Amino acid sequence: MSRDPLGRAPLVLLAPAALGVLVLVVPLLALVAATEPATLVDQLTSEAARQALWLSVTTSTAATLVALVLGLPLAWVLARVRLRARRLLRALVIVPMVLPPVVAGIALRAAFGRSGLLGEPILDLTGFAFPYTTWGVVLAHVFVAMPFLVISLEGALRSTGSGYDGAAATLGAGRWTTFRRVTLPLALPGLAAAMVLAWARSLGEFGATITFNGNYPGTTQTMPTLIYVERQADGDAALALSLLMLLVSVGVLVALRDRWLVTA
Amino acid sequence: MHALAGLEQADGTAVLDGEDLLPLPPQRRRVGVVFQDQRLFPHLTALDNVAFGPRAAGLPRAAARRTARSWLERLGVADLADRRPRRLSGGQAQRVAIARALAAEPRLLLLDEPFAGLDVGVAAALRIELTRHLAAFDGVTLLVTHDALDALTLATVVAVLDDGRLVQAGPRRRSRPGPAPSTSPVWWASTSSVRATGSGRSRRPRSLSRCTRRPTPAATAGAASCAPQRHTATPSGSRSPASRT
Repeated sequence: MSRDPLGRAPLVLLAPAALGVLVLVVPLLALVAATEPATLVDQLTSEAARQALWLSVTTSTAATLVALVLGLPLAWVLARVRLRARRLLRALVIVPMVLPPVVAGIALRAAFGRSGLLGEPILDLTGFAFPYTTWGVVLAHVFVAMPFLVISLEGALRSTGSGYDGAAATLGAGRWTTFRRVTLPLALPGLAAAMVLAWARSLGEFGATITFNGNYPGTTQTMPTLIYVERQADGDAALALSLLMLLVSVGVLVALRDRWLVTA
Repeated sequence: MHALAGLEQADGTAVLDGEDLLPLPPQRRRVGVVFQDQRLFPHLTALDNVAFGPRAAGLPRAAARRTARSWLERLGVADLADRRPRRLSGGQAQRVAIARALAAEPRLLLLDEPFAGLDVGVAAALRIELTRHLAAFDGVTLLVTHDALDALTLATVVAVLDDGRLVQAGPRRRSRPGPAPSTSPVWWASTSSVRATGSGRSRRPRSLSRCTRRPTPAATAGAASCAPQRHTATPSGSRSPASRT
């Protein structure tokens, strides 16, 4: 540690900080320690785990893309358009973030269930219903993950400032051109971080997914739901699957750290 | 100044070539701005910064870059074409910013304290160059400065604002700060309007004037008087320049 010109950091701050690190790290280390290598290999090669992992990764990725297509314009509106109802709009966007996931699942049911507010007309028109399908999983993921994307992206758009937008306007660029050639490129680092955040939230999503879609292997059974089911039947298997999720999550962090997640 | 560019709301009128600018959105005003902090796009090279205006006007990329390169050459910074703004010095960035504003072919060019924050030597050199570039510019230039030297060397018409009030306006020779200004005066200097009158390209003098409910003393054809109500950047602590002119 290099010498700090302001003097040593006080113990009253260092001690809780160290304790905080322990709380965050010990459970993960315990997870690694408790897993038997043999069960890990078994689980990794099991059909159920392979299916669930694949479903988790694909639905999370799809949900992140949907959240991007809808959330980027929404973040732009919040950051750049003079709206009287901006605070209200932002509050509405944040609600799913603070909502218990189970409640989110129930709410999705009320809206998109077979007899839901939108679900019924959709079913009548197209014969398609979201619940218990992979699309339903994606929908649930979008619902819980998009707020994270929108809020962090709005922050990124605000921090780049509207000064450059104004400069572009004086050079004759309309708002769409300005968005494409100035606003978006300047917000790219924030955009990447927002997408990672949404993807991670989506990968771990459990409550809304299982409430809205049930738990069908191959179509709606994602890793967290599989782990939950295994936990009730076979503790060791749940440990191994959890470790697998941990590895995937850490792997993503490591893969992206240099490009996007360095803020200092 | 920002109100003339359309970046802030303003009351009143701002007539340029017989057209009121204020109802137009900034991208349709053709008012170029050299911002005090330049505001060069950090993710684009100097060349692409200058090519931004021509491209926004619909030119294909290659043609816009050719135009941009010729502007960089005119401003003497063609060798910096591939640099990002982060790697430009203050004087270089200011030259690129002027090239960028001119490349968009504005009718009115706004210069906001163009020499503030530059080394004295760089500022002096750029001031001399700017005289030349503005002479070749077929439009009205409005320059805001706290430095009387800028106004007296670059302007054909000078308006002096003191604590938000227009205290003098007229051809350069007769203007000097009024008696005992309460704060450092702000000089609104217009170049080239007189030159434009005599240039023969248009018979009608290009005019930029502003009328609120009362006519302003300087709102005469061929002169740039100015300015919008409520605000614009005048760092001298004068809160509302021109609001009472």
